[in-house]
Amino acid sequence: MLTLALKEIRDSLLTLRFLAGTALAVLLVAVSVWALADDYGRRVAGHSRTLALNEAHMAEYGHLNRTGSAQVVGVAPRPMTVWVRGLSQGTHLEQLDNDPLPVLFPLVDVVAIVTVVFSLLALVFTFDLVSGERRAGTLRLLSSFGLSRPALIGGKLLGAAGTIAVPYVGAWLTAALVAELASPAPWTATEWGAAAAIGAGGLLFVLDFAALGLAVSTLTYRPRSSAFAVLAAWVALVLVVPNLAPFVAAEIRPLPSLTTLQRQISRMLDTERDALQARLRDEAFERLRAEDPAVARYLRLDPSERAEAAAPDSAGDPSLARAAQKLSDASTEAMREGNRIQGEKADALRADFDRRADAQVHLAQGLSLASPAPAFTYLATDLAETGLRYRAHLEAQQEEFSVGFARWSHATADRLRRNDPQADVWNTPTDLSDMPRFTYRSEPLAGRLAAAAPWIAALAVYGLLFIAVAVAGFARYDVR
Amino acid sequence: MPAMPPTLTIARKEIQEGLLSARFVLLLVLALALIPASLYTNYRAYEVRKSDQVEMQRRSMDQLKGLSATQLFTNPDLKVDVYLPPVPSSAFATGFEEAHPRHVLVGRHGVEYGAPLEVSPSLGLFGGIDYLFVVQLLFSLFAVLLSFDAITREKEAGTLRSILANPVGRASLAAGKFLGGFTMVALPLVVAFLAGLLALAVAGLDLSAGGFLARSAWILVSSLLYVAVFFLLGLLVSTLTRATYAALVVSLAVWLVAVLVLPRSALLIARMARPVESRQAVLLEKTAALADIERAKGEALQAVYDQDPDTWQDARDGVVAPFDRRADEAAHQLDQQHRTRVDAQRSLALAVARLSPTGSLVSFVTEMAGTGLSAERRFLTDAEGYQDTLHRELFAKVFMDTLPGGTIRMGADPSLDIQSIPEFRNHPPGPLQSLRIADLAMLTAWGLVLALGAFVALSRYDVR
Repeated sequence: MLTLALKEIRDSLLTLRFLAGTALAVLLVAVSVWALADDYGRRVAGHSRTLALNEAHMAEYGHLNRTGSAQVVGVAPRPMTVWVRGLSQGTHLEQLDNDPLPVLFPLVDVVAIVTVVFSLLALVFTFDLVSGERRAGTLRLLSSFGLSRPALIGGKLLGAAGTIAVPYVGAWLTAALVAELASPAPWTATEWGAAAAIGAGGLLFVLDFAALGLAVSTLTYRPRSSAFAVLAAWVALVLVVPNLAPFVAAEIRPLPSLTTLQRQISRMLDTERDALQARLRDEAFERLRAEDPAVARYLRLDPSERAEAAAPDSAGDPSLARAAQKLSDASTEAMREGNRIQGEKADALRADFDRRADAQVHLAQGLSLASPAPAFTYLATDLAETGLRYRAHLEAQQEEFSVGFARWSHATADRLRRNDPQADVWNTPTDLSDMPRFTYRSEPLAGRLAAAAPWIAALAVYGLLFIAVAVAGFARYDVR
Repeated sequence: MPAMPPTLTIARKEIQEGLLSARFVLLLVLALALIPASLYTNYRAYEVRKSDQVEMQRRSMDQLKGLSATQLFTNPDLKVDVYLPPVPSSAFATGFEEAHPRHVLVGRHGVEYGAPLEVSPSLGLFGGIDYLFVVQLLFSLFAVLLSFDAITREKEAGTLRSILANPVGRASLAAGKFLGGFTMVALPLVVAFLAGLLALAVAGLDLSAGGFLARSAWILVSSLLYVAVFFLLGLLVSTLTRATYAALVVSLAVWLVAVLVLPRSALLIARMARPVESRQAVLLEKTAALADIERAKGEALQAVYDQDPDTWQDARDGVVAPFDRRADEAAHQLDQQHRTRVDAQRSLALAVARLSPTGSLVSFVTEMAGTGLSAERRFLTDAEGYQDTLHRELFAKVFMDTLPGGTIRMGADPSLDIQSIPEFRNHPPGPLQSLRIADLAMLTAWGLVLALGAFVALSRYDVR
């Protein structure tokens, strides 16, 4: 079996497809990482410039009321975007900068190269391993050597794996080298760990496609039909399934648009709230009128006389003033209660929307696992902290930050007010140098690896499935 | 019956063979499944965006018109939200619609980008499917797959010699191969396209309105040209190689570079060659510059107010005018500088992307669908026009001066009538204005060069 594997590797090392594929892949990886490292450096410079401008601005014109803009100066670019651009390509997590070009022409990163180029390369290496030998007539010869068919296919698979591993490892090393040389900020041990795990996951992904090519090759008899079948499979798995999944998910679990949600919420917090408050107030007044004759008397007064009667130092009936106070308290309570009830309703609506959005994303993820390609993307973006998991962490940390920021603002306002009770503390220029600044806390490697485990499992399941198909297909293969 | 010209005979043979092949059936099924479904879904998404846009625009205007006089004075940074209406032809190519802000803030000192509107939560990592995606990736690949072995297959089967032993010229052979093979890719495209138009009509779109059919026709023409280019590319590879294997590897590599690598590297190259600072940095720079001017204005005004507390209103206008002019000029200059740089970067990126036929197709179709780069530019121009209106009708008529000691003086022109401020209008281009002849010419040029190459290579081909 090993002899066979070694023969396969030696055979393919000199072929056109091997040389062309390896050269193309290594060149692409080098150019992509170099360009993205350059882009990353520019984004880092832009980000620190924005921070500096903001600091200068706050130092000179800092009002507590103006700190809102200080909170949204953006998040530092993720160091691993040099390899894995992830979500930053479409949604603008890093800055409020919008460039339509990357949407029209998405940028190529290492993940895209592995997903598109290496999967294709793996198929090109393997699609005719069995059907090609049959056509050349050497398959009969090979099967007369006394090797069992599973051993034979195992040897072919090992050989194919070895062949594809050479350009893959070459490309990975190139990517690592260029990242080290060109990236303006050296990666930490965590990032290198993540890079190694991405490399391993990518290898698993590429081997899935090698197994797929072999499986197709055992199901077809002519190299031409093998070639066509693997390309059809490739189109479906790499190009169609990932993009179709969110579409289908949105059809199955539709979401109202954000505007619709906002409309419902603003109605709840506006007209509905006013109506509720009025009703609660009327009910409370009715109750008080029944309980307290002074209240009833007060309510019978002409509105123009009420202010006079309600004044605590008025010469009139003191019970009327007490009744007015009761009514005023009841009215405040009704306002508060109305705000609370409608606020809770709105929160529930928002939470429901978020839950449904999460359900849609999960469904899309689940559907996209009909192909190994999205599994690798999820794995890479989770490990590199540029994907959906990163977005969730970032949002949680930003929320935590804004709560802390509000606490700081109010504490500062209180301090200023103690110093000068008359001052308009929110609009007075103030030293804001102790204002909290947002920094994203990266997740440790162990957590990222745990998050990547299901995707690795998915890739392994695909590999085993394709190998099983290859073994079964070859067991019934007519070698003549 | 007169004999058919050999070109047509060969074309007919190719079509007869092709109709039964798995590639043709698969392409037809894929196209019929993806094109009408994506057009239908994207059209419905357009309708939702449209009603959202109408509502948000109305809400923004209500907010503006509901402002009291005091609110107008005390909000010197008042900004009015303006939204870009979506267009139905975005069903063909969503372009930047999903991720790009269709929302800007029009303020006293220019136009700012608003936060991006919602992006469907699950579209983040992969993006969706639209007609452009299907043509750009799938049809180009199938076009290459249908042609890469057109010549080598016949050579390996030994039939090439017998064909050429008949009175058939090599030019007729090439033309016949092209006509027959191209029909096999064009047919599924046209059929699926028509089915897609039907799906749009079912979804409730009035096809005859607003030049939609003209736009569709141009999009179809460019798609057919694009597919022809890739078919000819496969044919050229087929005439340059001796074996089917080599033809496959070479055509896949060329397809990969042309479709996925070159257009997608264009922006990276442009960003390296012509860097541009972020819009946010520009905004901060602008804010700092304006704050400086505002402070100087406050100092100058202090003197006016100190001099004669009774007649300050008249003196004020004369003092303020040069500062306001300076502020406008500074803001305008910073915006203009940034835009010039962005334009330079973009045109370089587009030029590089157009080295590949895919770049030309993306540019042509997104422009024609009204979701391309010029739609964004036009929206900004319209918003700037609206800024002029607002400036005249609103911003110039209210003022709030902050004096060095923190004293605030405000006032309004009596002619200010906030209810009569006109609404934002945008001016979408007509189909002919969206026509990018240069892209069509590039595609045609590619087709001619590849056809010529295939013809020359075939005339030198060793048929043995």
